[in-house]
Amino acid sequence: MRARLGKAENSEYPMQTKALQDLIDAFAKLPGIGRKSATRLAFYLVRQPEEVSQELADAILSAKERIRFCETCQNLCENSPCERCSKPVRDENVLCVVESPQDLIAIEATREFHGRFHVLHGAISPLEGITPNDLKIRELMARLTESSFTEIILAMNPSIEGEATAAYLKRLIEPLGITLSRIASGLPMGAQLEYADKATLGRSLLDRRTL
Amino acid sequence: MFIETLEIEHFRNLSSVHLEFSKGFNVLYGANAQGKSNLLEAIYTLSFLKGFRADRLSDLIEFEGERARLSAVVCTGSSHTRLGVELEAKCRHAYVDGVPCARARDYLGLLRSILFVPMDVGFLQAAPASRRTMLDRMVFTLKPSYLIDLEQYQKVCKQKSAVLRAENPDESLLDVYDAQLLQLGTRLLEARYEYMVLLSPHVARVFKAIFDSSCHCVPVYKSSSLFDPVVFDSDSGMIGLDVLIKSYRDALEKGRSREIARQQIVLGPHRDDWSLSLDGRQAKFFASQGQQRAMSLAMKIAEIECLRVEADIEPVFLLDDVSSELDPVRHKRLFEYLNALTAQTFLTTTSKEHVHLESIGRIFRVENGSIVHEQQ
Ligand SMILES: [Zn+2]
Repeated sequence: MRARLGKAENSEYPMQTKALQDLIDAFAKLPGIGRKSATRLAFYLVRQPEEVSQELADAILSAKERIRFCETCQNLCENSPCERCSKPVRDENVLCVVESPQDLIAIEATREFHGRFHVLHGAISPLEGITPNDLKIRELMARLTESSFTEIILAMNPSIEGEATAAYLKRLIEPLGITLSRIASGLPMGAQLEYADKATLGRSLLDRRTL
Repeated sequence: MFIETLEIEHFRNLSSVHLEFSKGFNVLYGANAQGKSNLLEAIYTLSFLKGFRADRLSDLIEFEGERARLSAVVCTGSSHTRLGVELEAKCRHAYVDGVPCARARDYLGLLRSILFVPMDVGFLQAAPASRRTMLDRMVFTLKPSYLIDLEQYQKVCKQKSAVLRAENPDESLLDVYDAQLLQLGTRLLEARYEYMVLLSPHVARVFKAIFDSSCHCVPVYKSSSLFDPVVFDSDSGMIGLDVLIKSYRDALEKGRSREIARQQIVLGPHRDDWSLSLDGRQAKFFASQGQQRAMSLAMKIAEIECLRVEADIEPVFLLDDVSSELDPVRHKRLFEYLNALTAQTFLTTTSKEHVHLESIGRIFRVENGSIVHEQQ
């Protein structure tokens, strides 16, 4: 008898070994991967020659070993401070705060921004267990007291979580007397910066409004 | 407006369905749990980008499937539009004539449907949550942007509840969510209020026409932050919208310690309720059985009339097995009314015998996820 793959929604196919089940569970914990995709990945890997798994494992471990947070902008890098933070920029006094490295790349690609970046690595979402302490907010505040920024652009996503994060940061930064602005709402609610087209995102940076 | 064709892939138990509909009555019959309501829910999802029996998008996707696809050709006047919806566990995409819509608000409203489910018949005695769902549905059918505000309001409620459940709730985070709630909640209250103002004369008129011309029946809104209910009767002079909003704002400001103690959001539009008043008395307690049945029918017809008169929209009707709930007299009345409207109607029933219609457009037999057009 053959095990019918994928029939059981919550894992535990009777004929599956524990090792395979562990691998599926590990994949399923990754963002964007459901049980079905996790199962497909696990079966694919065990059928491939051992080198494939070795290469993947090595890549994961060496990335984990070499990649760190930049001490200045908190973006991921191999050497801290990162390349971006080591180079001069045109608008030294403007800081753009983003949720993720992907958002940073999206904003950089618009060529409308020539200041510094700060990456929070997420947005506040108590429902998913993400509190302000889980983000690089402490590092942001430390950076603001040490540097001489005159404007902070809050470039969180136009989502409930992004808006909440921006509002939370506003309360923290306002007493410092630095001008705060929020990217314009030309972006659709629920849109993700990393997927927004360059023109729209560029426009929303130029049209940013002071908070 | 009416739906010409509908294609469904991997939506609940409907793996692959391709149908052509009548502009008039479409009857779907079959035993329970075969997929009749799923077809109605597919049409509903094309209208509102969400199901009417699902909490999560993933509930709408076929077991083992990764995404569901819906596509319909909708005729409004002389124009044909192809609407498409793609559902994945965590996201939804909408298309108009193959072009993706960047924002839900660009899509919502292109297909208007009015849903009639058995719960609507007993709404006066139902739980407040079901009644709220019924009201929200009426409001966003007339005003689609309300649905976007509603979904966002519900998201913020979930975030705030999560903070309240934490050991030491972060008060500055609560302030942030309260500001979001106040903004969105105010918009919900405004929309509900405006809707009830429009709906009220229709309810009064329809009830007089179908039941008793001497009885006066109007909707009532019960805010969770206001002691007195708002009676939507222009004769008796109702409490203003500003009072409603102010009481909500005050409740948010003053309710903090109570919310922290109870670890939940105590007040707000998501806790409000509504009802009907009959000659100045609460219909829920004082109306007879017959009056209550007439009221549920009057509510539905008033909802349709409100949409037709106030927005000049001819919606499609989705009747999910209401024959079993509505008594024969009221049942006949409803169908006479729908017949006269000449609107496109989709009707599910367990037996063809329950349907007494002069002119059925098309009959479909639904069995185990397959839907077959039956030649008459
Ligand atoms: Zn850096």
